[in-house]
Amino acid sequence: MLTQIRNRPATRDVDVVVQGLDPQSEDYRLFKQAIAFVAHDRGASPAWLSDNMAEFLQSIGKVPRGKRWLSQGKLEVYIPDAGYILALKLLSGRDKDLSDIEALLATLDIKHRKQAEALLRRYIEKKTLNDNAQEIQITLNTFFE
Amino acid sequence: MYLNRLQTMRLSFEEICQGQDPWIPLGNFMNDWYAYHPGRRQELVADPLPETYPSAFHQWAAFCAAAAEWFCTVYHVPCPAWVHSPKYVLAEPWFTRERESVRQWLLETTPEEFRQRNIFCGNRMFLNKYEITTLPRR
Repeated sequence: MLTQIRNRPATRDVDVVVQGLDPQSEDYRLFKQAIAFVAHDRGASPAWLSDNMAEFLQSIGKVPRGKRWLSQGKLEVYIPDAGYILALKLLSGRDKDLSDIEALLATLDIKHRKQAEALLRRYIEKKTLNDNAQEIQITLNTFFE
Repeated sequence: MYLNRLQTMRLSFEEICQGQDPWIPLGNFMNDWYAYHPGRRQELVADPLPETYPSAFHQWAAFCAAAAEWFCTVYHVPCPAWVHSPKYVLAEPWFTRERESVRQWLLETTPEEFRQRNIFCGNRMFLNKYEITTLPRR
């Protein structure tokens, strides 16, 4: 939202999915150590950058590769497309997400409920949609007739 | 995210009164509660809201009082006395989502801490991504 939609001046944390690294590997350990080093250096919480959500995200559908945003040595950072972020926010439906949803609907020029429903089906697997059907409808009702 | 700064409920309300989108300071409060300062939860809600504030923000004052009580109840933290002040009961019901089609859901799902204060906001405002499958139930 911060770098792509630019609807907010700052963010408190960054969620990532680490790809291509075995959680048991030395490279993954170095990755976590780098996060902790930055946190210590800046007096920030080590939760400032977290992959805690990765398992959940991978369990509800295929995480899209996105577009490359940064390439630095061994590190490559990919940004998910706005449609995927909107699908996740429609799924969660938290009040704190509502202004982001509004901004994403405008960015993606989504004006009708059926467009939003198609987007959800594109990114979120059927079982998750069925399990959360009522909550998703409430969120859609908040924005659409 | 900085460890030397607590995003208390009082600070959150003050930032709302300064014109911030309420869900930015309240979201920051949630981050401190859930992730950054879970060992300092009592401090996060201890300070009462300011005695005086612009009347336009009274609904949010009531919301902050209800939220503080909700967090304390759900997470078994001693609740500060200030949240129980009758001034935080709204004279008129406040439905936080405007569309008629969600009103029934707001009426049915809003936690007691909010209903008592005439606030109808549903039950998804404080869903925590850090414990997405294990939200404590009462």
